[in-house]
Amino acid sequence: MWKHLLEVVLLGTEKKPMNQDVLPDQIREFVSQRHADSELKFLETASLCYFYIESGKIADTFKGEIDERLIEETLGVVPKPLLEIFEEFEKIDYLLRDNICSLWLDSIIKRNEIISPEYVVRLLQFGNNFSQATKNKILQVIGNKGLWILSFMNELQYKMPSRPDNIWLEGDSNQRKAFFKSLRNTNHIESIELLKTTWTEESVVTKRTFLEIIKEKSFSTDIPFLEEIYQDEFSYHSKEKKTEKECRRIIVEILLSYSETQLHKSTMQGLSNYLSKSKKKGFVGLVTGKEQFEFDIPSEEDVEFWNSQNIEQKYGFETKNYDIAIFSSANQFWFSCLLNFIPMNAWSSVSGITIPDITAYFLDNFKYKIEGKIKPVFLESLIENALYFSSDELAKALLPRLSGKDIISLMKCLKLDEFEKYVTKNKYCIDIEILQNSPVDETNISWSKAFTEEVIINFYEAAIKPNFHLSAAMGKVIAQFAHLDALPVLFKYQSLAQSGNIYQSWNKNIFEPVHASIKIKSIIDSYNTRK
Amino acid sequence: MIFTEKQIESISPNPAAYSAGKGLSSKHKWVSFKKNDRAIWGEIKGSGKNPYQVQIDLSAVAYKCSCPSRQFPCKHSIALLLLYANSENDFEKVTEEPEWVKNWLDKRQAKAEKPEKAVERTEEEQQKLDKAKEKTQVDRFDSVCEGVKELELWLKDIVRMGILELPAKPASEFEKTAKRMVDAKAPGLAGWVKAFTKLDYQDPDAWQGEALKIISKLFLLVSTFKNYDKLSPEWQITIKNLVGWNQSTKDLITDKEAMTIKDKWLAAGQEFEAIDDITIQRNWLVGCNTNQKALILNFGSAFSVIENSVLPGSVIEAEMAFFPSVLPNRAVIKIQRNVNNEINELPCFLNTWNEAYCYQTELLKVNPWANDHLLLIKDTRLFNDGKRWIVCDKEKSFMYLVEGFDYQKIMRWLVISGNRSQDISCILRNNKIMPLGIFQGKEYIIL
Repeated sequence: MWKHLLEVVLLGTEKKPMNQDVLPDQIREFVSQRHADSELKFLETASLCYFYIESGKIADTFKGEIDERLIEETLGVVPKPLLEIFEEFEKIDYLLRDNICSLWLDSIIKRNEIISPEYVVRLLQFGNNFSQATKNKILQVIGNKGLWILSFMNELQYKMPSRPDNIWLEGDSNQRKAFFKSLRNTNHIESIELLKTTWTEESVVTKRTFLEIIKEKSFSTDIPFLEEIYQDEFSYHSKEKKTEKECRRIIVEILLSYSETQLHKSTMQGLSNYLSKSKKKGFVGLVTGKEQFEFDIPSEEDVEFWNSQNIEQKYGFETKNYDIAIFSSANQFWFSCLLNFIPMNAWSSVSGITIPDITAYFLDNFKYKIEGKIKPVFLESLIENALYFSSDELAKALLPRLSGKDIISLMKCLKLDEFEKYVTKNKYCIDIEILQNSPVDETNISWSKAFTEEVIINFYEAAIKPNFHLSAAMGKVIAQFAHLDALPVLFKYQSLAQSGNIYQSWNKNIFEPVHASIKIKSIIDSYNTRK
Repeated sequence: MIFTEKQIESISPNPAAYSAGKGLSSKHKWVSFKKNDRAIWGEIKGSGKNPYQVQIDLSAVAYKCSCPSRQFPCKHSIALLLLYANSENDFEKVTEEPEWVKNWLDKRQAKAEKPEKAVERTEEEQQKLDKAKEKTQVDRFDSVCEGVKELELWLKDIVRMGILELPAKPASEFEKTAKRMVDAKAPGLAGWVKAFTKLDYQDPDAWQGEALKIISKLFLLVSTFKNYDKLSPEWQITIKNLVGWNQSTKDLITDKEAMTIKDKWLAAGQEFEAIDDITIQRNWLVGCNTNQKALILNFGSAFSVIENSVLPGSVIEAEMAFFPSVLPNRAVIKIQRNVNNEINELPCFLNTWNEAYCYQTELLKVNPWANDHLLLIKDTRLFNDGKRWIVCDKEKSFMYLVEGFDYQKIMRWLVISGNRSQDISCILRNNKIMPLGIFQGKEYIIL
């Protein structure tokens, strides 16, 4: 009936007259006695038919199988005050959100609880642009219901957790890499055991990837496995592939960093032949009796150690293509490669002098000239060494000789109190690049109270001077590392700012983010310390 | 009453105001914030010399702020509500309000108890006024009759020529006809005509059927109006409303004959729709004891803000006055006594979608143009059939969601339910549903 009416109205009553026979009896009888005009007759029929159909409507029945599996939670919901911190996140600057949200998530994960379902959709959307690490934490607190709805939210970029054995055996290379990395952090012994189970089936490229991950954070328990593959699979052979050589180099770099390894011992033994000690010359030697350390790197290859055959076969280092602008010989280049990964205390023990002294020796006695400036040949290697071993002693020895970017990179090597002393002494309290590299860790997540206060005061004093502009990045860095007990000083300088002309900028860029961050962190902290 | 963040968000005039309010909802931003049983109030420093004074009537949810903002509620009122929602215990409880709060509350209370008195006129003045009013009414009625005649002709033209031509017609042509209806003082009819411009002409399956439905309903309305004199008074009012006569809230509240119902009304949901320059806010309520459905409409424009007095999800203890109609539905709050989030008595639920259709048929029998039916239905489950989201009842009958239903609300339903079947409230609109909220026992969660 409706279909017929639709056909009529599409073409128009002029072209297609209505057939009353298709109408229900009551409607047909009614309209037959009504208008003679065909348009009016059609309009009235359509009205009656429309309501006739509407009044007899019944719902469609679903023919398929309905998934009736209930999604249940096994973990409890976090207490309301801890849950409601989430509401505060929207008030803080977006630069800070990832960091603070991550602390909040850590607290919930530690309590082995989840968030209430009403917050799940918002949290998933809120965290969509966060770092992968924070996203992984989000997945741990949204419960089974959250994970379930995530499968419908295709616009969000979360990687659903898979079963570990599935990832290792069936995951793509990125998934396997991420899984191995995370296992290295949580159980490094198991990570090597897992790697061994599939090692023989892995391609050499994949092996190189896993070796690089091991090198990022190695453990002495890795040594037996590494020594085994170094001596067997990756020992030199004449038709070896480039990637195999690279694998050998990575293994060598790891093994050199452990004094107990055979490779480290034989290398130090080999190098000791080029070491000499003599009494310091002149008056100083006479008075102090101090020995002078010397390390002779031959300018030409020799048969004992410094020759490309030994270097390539034993270490896998490049034998050609080194930078001749920096290194005067291939031997010097190979030595820089060794210097990267041999810990400084090994040099100290073999030479009998302190780390600062041996650092000074390497910096002062090997130099090159470029663009009219004289620079130490081994500076980069020593910086690499400090970063690789997170050596605060080497960093401290290097810092007085560095400037700019190199200083910033070494901040992470210092202990927190040394960092604070260094920053204060060198007046870096308002240098956000330095402050951003504060050496905090899981146990020490913030600066000391005194240092926080000093940073706040320094920023305030800078802000009241002409031509200094406060920025959101400044507030972000203080907010990220501020000590929880620094609020009184923050309030003090807030009230001082109120009476001056920097109030708007101070309030927006410093006070608001720092205050919000401390407030949130305090609540998280209070829950973390509760039993 | 403690408000939920969701409720506060829903009464905010726009997301920016809510976000600004959120930024001001920390305790340290406020010079003071206090409460008693009647109200909450606070002072907050703004760009003015003196702090802004913000006050919120808790018994009948109303807001007042001394700031110059034209938004309602302003960001300060939103901030105070949020502060109260998150830190109620930090509000200092006092018995006596300050003078500025007391004056406002007393004035509101007096207004609620004694509606405005009608202006006193002499008999002669009244007669003159009535005569003028009558003349205006007669003139308007004549004008509408002309418009109705013209519209009938227009409909006849459409069915004679065939609707296949409609997609090719420019929107201006429909707008021209709609404008003529406005000129004929029949804005309701203009709205029906404009509906043709909103059809999705890219989808032949959809627009052709929809166009015939509009034609059918509009013709019935035109025909009924032509029989105006033969209709009952209730029908006359109903038809006049559909054609475009306005109903006065002020007259309704003072009308002693008007239908009123006292109940605890669950504010089941809210919807905003922008039509031209006007924003319409629809609030659907259901009486927990009487099961009466009510629709409260609020209007806003660039020059007047929507007075947002209904908090979705709240239970309002009030006497509601209903506009006269063959099917009284649109209402206003006449006297409000209390508002909270507690449902003591649950309204009646339907069990299946077929029961919902039977209910719709009963309503269509009374008023063929009735739409947007508020339904409370038991044991429904939301799922995706591979193409679309559908809501199944316990007999596996299903309904589609209305077009463009907020995806976040779908996810919210799923995560709250965990795939368990839920009792819900929804609007049945053009044989599709728009879910409003979920019942979990006596708790009502707004989607």
